[in-house]
Amino acid sequence: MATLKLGSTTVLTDTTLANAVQDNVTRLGTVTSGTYSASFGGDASRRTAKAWFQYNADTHVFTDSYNVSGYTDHGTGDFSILWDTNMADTSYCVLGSSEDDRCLSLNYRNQIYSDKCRFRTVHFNGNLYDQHLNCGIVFGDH
Amino acid sequence: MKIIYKTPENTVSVIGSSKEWTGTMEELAKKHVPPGLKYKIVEDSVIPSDRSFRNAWEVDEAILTDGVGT
Repeated sequence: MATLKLGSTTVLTDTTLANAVQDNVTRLGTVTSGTYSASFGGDASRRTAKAWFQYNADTHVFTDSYNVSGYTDHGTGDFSILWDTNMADTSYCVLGSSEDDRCLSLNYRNQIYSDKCRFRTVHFNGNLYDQHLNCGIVFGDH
Repeated sequence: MKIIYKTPENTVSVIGSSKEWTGTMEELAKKHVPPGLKYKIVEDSVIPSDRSFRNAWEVDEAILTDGVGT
């Protein structure tokens, strides 16, 4: 535990600092020791991203991600991103982008599932294409 | 490791894990293989690295013996 002392008197610990910071916003819980992992409720939950990813659809490697268990490669320019913790239903929002002036879009035939979302990536010539850089973020209810 | 299954449209889908996935491939298959579809867990080397004819990939359903999506 990290502490700040004046002489022999401890005036600040990492837990009191963490709680003091929270008191200046909205305390989500009480820190006792170690790392505090918060879970949000109410409106805060609805305003927080439930998943995000940066994914290479050519090599099938995630640069980084949150709440993503994996991918399904369905074919050229056609893949799903699989959620680790499922969404509560299918009425959630996905925002995505792909590289250059190419397009990452929801797969119109398969749309959105609670455990995954299927995408298509289209080259500027109109053909499906395995884009290298695909990013997405998800808002909705768990 | 990868999970392969054959779709009702006779195409081949391949499931891979993210870096944050801490479960097993069996657990990933149970979570994400569509209901009723047979699957097989294979080594990465089984999946062709050349994607030139990706949409022409085929799989013999007889080898998909590791389970069925639920």
